[in-house]
Formats: sequence, structure tokens, C-alpha cells
Amino acid sequence: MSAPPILLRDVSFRYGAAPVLESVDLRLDEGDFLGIIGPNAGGKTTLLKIILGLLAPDRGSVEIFGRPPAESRGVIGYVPQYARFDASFPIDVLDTVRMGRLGVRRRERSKESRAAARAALDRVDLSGMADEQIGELSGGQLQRVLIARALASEPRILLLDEPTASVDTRIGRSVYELLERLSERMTIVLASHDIGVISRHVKTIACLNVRLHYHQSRELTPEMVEAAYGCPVDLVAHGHPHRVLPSHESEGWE
Amino acid sequence: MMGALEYEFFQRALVAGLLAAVAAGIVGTFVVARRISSISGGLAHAAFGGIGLGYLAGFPPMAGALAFGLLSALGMGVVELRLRQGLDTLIAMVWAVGMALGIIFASLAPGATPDLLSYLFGNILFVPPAYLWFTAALDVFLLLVVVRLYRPLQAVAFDEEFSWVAGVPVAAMFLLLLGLTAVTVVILIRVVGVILVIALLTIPAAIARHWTGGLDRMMLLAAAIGAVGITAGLFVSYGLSANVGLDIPTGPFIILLVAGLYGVSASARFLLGRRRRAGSREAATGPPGETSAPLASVRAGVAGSAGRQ
Repeated sequence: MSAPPILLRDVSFRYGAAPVLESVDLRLDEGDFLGIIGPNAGGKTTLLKIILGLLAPDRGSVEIFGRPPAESRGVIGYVPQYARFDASFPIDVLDTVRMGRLGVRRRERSKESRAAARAALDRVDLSGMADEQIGELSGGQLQRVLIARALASEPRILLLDEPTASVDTRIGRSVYELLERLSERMTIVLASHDIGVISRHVKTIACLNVRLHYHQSRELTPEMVEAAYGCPVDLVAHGHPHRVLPSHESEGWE
Repeated sequence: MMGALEYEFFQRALVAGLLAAVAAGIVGTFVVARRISSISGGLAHAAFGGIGLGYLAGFPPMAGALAFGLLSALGMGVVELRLRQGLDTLIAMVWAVGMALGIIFASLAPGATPDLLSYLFGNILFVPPAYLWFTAALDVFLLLVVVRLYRPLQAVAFDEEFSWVAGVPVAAMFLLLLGLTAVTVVILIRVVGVILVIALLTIPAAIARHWTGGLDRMMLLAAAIGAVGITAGLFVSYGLSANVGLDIPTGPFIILLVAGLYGVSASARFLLGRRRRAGSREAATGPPGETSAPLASVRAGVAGSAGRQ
């Protein structure tokens, strides 16, 4: 059997004295679509950055398809929180998306990388925006540009950090529908504080607040939520003792 | 006014200025886009330490300047990559430390304290002939690097984290950018002086940003704007001197001219409005009733639990 896309063993990380992650174990198999929820400052972004190799854990090991993250660059597509970089930088949408091609084939011809970038823009319904400066996009458009940029690298794993934090419900839904389609071809990890939306689209769900609570299912147990949020379950529940969030088929939220 | 072209010093100044505008347009575009405009001043003054050491130890001061400028740039780069200290902070540090070293080295030199500052205030009307060739070589080198490595350099200047994840050699590209900036600043100090270097690495690129997006177009436009400013400045200041008897130092005059261009450009940009702002906004707001239902239910849950207490 081949090595799993993501394998974390006993990963811990701290900023100064404050523990951010403690003894996190996580194994994802091909085709998994994991939603990680948790409070702000619960370690979601840190966990993603450790998987990407942008941060090194203080303890524990990380393997991407059996190899260390630093040797797996280009395997993972990354969609950062969009507020994290300088949107006034002079670069247009097409060049931004072409960044995703840089690691794929070092000597790729311009024509080919442009075509790949345009195809990625098509998939997020932004084909008409290729020549726009990124500083002139709305939050939702920029978010989709970042997804296209990650897709352009033809990743086998896709990591997204709060991909719908800055967009309205309608665009958020189209992002999730896109991710559901993509999850047939790649392993996806999605971090969000938006418990309700996330649980309707992902295959499995985990709660993260320094420690990771994960049972490889889509059901959130009251214990998971309570452990992660440190607050009574009925903050997020509807009264069912065990099913705190509706399943995919049950009546919708709208 | 065209009579100026008969003088060799004027021809040399014009050629030097045009060559300097190309290098400054390329490097200035990266510097402005990356928001580290103070780096030209910082590295110029870091180089000052090398000028002092050159005097003290008896090697060519400009060799010391180049070494100090490069080492400061690479040192800042390594610290930034490891510690994320913030380039603005590191720039201010190398600025002050370079000046301090230069002053100390000069004070240790035997005999009268040399006037090291004159090295920082190169004069475009008295460019050493060798520096025409240095600047031409610098231009060719910068063009080769930018043509060959445009996309990785652009990616690293824009978003280091994503570039690393995608597999770009981020550290190498980042240090290359800083190293190119250092070499450019040090060579241009001798050609046009520290003050004009700071102006040429900042103002033309800032004007170009008003009218175009994309580093490649900004570089072309910035180089052109710098060239126009230098040419006009040389001719006008010569004309004022020859015809009116008004002797205005050429370098500072060029700076005022380019800064004036910035004022005109900024006003025009302001009057014309930001580019297509209104048109490119998508209908980002759905119907008001559509605000995230799950969140609403969480709020309802909070209300419910509070009510039970």
C-alpha cells in the first residue's frame, strides 16, 4: 500500500511558552475531505503551515506521501487566508494564477503556463478577469483567484485556510460546491470557524483547539465540540443529544 | 541649449544618466512593489562603512563600498528569512551601523580626517569614465537576470509563502533581489550620488505604478520616466547656467523635476479616478435575508442556552 497523503505523528508546536498544538495525530487517505473547525487561535493555521512545511514542529513527525514536507513542495496546493498578503502588489490575475505553475515544470513555456492558468480560472468562473489587477478585485473574486492559483499547480493535496471567511453566502456555497467536485480527484483539508457550512460539504470533520479531536466521521460528537471549544455543547447544538449538526440529507439550513 | 552636447562632460553625463535610469527603473520597480523604498538609502550608507575601511586599510574605497553594500544586503536577507524581523527595521539598522563604522574608520586613519562624505555625493557632471562601462555592464546584467528569472522573482516579491509551497527557491531569489539592489545602489552612488540614487529608485517606479500594473511594464515605464527626467534636468540646468547665469546644481535639480512629475502624475490619477474601480466590483452582496443561516442557528443556540440559565 502506498504512503498516505498526510501523516502526522504526535506533532507539538509552541510559540514561546504557549502551546499551539499538542500531540496531534492525523492520517488522511487519498480522496479524504477533512474539515477542521475550532476557535480562533486554536491552531488551525499553524497546523496547515506544519503540513506545508512552512513551520517545523517542535516534536513529532510530518509525512506527505511518505516524505518530509520540504521534499514534497509542489505536491500540495495552498490557499492562504486572503488577508495575509499585499493585495496592492502590481500583478494581474493571470500572473497570480501562473505562480502555481512555477514549481510544476521549471522550464515550462509561457504559452503552456498561460493556458494552464486560464483553465484554472475557468474552473472558478473567473475567465473574464485574467487581465485585472488583483487590487481591484472584490473579496470573493480574490478568494477564487487564490483557489485557481492552487489548482494551477495540479496538486494531489489541497489545503485551504478559511476560504470563505471574506465572502458572502452565495459565493461561499459556490466555493464549497467546487471543492466537493475537486474532492473526487484530490485529498482536501479545509480549516474554518464556520461549523455549519463546513459540515454540510466535507466527508469528515475534526475539532482543533491545541489538541485535535478526530473520529474519522462527519458527526461532531458533543464531547469533541466541548473539548475543542471549552463550552457547553448546546452552543452549537439543536437539542439532539448526539447529532449536533444535521446530516447531509436532512432538511437544509436555508 | 543643444550647444551643451558639444561638451564632453555633458555627453558623458547624459550617457551616464540614461544608463543609470535603466538600472534604477528595473531595481526601483521591485523595491517600490515590495515596499522597501528606504533600502536604497540604507544600503548606500551601509556602503559608507566600506569606504572608510578602504581609506584606513589602503584599498580602493569603492571596492569596500561594494563589499559592505553586498554583505549588508545578504545579511539582512538571511536574518529576514530566518527571523522575520521586518526588512524596514533591518534597513534602518544597516543604515546607522554603516555610517558609524565609516566615521570610526575615518577617525582611525592617520593624518587629516578624509572627507568620506564626498564619496556619497557623486556628481553626475563628473562621472569617472570607467563608471560608464560599469553602469552599462550593470544594465546588461540586470536585463539578463530579469528576462531569465522574471516569474520566480515576481512570485517571491509578491508572496514568499506560496512561492515556497509551490517549489520556488525562495531564499535564493530573495537574496538575489537584495544583492542586485546593493550592486545597483553602490555603482549608481558614484555615478549620480546618494540623493539622486534614492530619488531614481523610488519616484519613477512610483509614477509608473499610477499608470500600469505588472512589474514588466512598470520597469519599462520607470526607466523611461527616469531617462526623461535626467535628460530634461541636464539640459534645463545647463540652459539656465549658460543663458541666465543661474547655476543650480544638476543632481538636485533633476530630483525636483522628477518629484514635480510625480505631483503631476498623482494629480492626474486622482482626477481621472482609480482605474475601473467601480466596474470591476462584482455583486458581492446577496439578498440581506441570506446571511449565513448556520451562524444564525448558532446565535439562536446561544440565546437558548442563556435563557435556560
